[in-house]
Amino acid sequence: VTPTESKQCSGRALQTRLLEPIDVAWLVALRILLGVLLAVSMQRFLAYGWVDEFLVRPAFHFKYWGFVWVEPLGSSAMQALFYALLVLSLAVAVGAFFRVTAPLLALGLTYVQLIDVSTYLNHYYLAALLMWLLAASPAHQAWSVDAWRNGRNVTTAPSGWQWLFRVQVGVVYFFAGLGKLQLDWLQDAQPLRIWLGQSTSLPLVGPLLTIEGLPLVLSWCGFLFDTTIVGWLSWKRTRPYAYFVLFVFHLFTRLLFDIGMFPFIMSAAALVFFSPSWPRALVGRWLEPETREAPRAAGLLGRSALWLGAIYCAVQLVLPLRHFAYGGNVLWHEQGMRFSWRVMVRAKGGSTTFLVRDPQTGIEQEVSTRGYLTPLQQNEMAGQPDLILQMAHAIGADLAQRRGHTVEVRAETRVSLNGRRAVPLIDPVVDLTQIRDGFGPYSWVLPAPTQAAPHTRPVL
Amino acid sequence: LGGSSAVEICGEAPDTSGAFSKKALLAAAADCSAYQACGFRAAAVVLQRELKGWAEDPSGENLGRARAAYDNAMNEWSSIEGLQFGPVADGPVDEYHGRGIRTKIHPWPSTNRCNVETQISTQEYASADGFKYVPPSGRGLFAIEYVLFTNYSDTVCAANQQAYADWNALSSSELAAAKRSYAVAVASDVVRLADTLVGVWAPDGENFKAKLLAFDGYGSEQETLNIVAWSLIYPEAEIKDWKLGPFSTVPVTPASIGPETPYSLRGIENLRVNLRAFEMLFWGCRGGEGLGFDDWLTEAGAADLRDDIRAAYEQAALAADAFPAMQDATTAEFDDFYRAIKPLADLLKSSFFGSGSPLNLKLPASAGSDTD
Repeated sequence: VTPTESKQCSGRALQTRLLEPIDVAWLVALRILLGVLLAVSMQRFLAYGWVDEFLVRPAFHFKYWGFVWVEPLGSSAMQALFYALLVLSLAVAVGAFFRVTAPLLALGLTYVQLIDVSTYLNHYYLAALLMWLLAASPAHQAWSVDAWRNGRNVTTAPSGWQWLFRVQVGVVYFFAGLGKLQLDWLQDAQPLRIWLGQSTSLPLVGPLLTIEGLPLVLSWCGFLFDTTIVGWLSWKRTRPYAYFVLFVFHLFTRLLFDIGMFPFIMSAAALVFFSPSWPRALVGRWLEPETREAPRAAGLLGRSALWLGAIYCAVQLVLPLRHFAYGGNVLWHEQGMRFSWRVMVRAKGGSTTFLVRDPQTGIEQEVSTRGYLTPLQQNEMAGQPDLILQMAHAIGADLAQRRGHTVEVRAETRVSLNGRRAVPLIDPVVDLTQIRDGFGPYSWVLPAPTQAAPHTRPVL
Repeated sequence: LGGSSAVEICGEAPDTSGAFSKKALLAAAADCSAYQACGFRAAAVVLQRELKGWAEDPSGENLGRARAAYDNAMNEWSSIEGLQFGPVADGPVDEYHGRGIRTKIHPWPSTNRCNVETQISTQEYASADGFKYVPPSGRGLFAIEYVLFTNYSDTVCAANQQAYADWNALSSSELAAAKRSYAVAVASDVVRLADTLVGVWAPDGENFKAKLLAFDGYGSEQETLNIVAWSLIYPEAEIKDWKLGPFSTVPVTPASIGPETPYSLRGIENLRVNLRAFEMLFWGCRGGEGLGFDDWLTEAGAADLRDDIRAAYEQAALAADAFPAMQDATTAEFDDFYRAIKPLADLLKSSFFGSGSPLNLKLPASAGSDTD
């Protein structure tokens, strides 16, 4: 056997392994759990008034690169969209018209995500990714309205789907852990020292949070949990214990922080590490027994699907590492921050004063962002250079239109990272209207503060 | 009450010194608010009495006494401006307990001269409904100021409004009497609102302090502290952007907000008291002594931010003390004052509040979202 033949053999073996039919029960459970959780998420947006507050009310929206054309709908239409997404989520949960409802739900979630960068959250991004994967999967072929309509339950699915979801969930945990591999987290226990302070009034747990040294212990626990949990979940012997720890961990984070549905989504998604038949142990008596199918040879469709899956995994593995191309502190310059699963690693805020200089008069004046941005947008913008740049361009364009000639726009910024004293983030002499956003390093962002994060304390 | 001053009735500012805890801080803020409410009520009662005296005998001397009582009431109120949490606050400021008492007493910046003149000319306030349907923009201290410090014979209401016709139907003496009557009625309403405010804090009344300490309605201690702390943003929004911004050339598009007290021309006095109210909440109710948010920063290990805020505050207070009467100030003086207060405003926005806050305090109106 030549090395080429050996490689072909192992490639074929991998294909066969990934196309091997396994029990579909895990995928059905994921479909139901994800559908229900997304329905709750949509309901929260509606109930808390976030649809208007975050998506409709802002006079200005921060755009994603390449998606400047995405605009919000009007208030009523946006409300209707969220009700539609709620219904679609439930339709996905019960597997009704899945090939239509699931892609529409994924599309809707993506659209909502793309409306304004300042609303970006890792778990919204994750929800959209999981939904796209689910929409492409055969999750509706069993125990669903569709299966009932077709009169046929398909009780297996290619094992590649489970591996794809495992990679997706594993990537989130692993890179969340990797994001904590830095001195602020592991040496100075920041920003946990700051954030734990908001929970000291909790019964029983609260006073414990003020114990000196506890933030550091919890920081290390979080780091070790995130970086190793995938391994523990992947090992059959430790899996149940690992999942118990995972569940307690997410319960704890839900108790301490305002992280919405994230703990629930992760707790549900992490079930993909269990045996494909795990739901049968809970509800087996109501399920149609699994019918083993013989492994099928990879056809063109199967091979294409495997390649698509491989490319998807490669992107998910590379995207969170792109900050290495920029050097410096990603928590400061933020290049490579989004879509990289740096979850809960920075407490960053500041003030931004935009100064407009009229080249014809030489007069320099301040422009308040109150007329453009909501308080939430102002807060988010203050620590994110690309958003400051977008705002500067918008102010420049607005005043140029009103005055009939171009103006220069600079930003005086004071930004605090993980409890440090606020320092300038943006070079105050740079006319930001002359800067074009792109993938190159931001030369107009000043270096990150080098002093250690302060050891602030949670207090009673 | 006789001629008693607020100090005689309410005593000295409460001693809120003691060991720091977040609950103790909330208690200190509550005690300070109760004390200020008492002071304002005392001043409102005196104002009501002086206005009645002037209405019965509209002499120059009585007008002077009424104006002095208004000045005193405005001084007392300017302290409460810096303590806007709980029922006194407007709904958007304290979404849990705000009942808008503040805006009914001091409607600025939403003041409207025509709404005052409408009440004077139509006397709708004298109906059985009283002030129930009188818009805040035409009542409160603004309406009293209008009556005490102006002598307009014309109205700004539009010619197609009923008020315009009613106004012009009054003789000058009838108009003057109608103005005084309205001022007396408004003063009675202000006293009623002040009574409500005192009752909010009274242990045998609503006892809002107990609610505050139990985070009743707020849901958590941190959210309660957020709402209380939001009063501290006053120098950034109300003082810098609203009181100084419109008269300064520093901002490109200043807020289109009128002066706080356009007729009595006591804007700088209000502003100085506002800053002292900031001091009371931040450093302690008794002239900067006692528990305040500075103690929280100290306990949390953020003494450098505490000191930075102190330095920025002193710069702002010095600038306020040196500032002339607003109507006499030049644009350059407004610009300098604006720049003097900006470091304090920036520190509050960049470090005390927001995602970088060492105390985890959210910026006003930005609470309630998820994060990760």
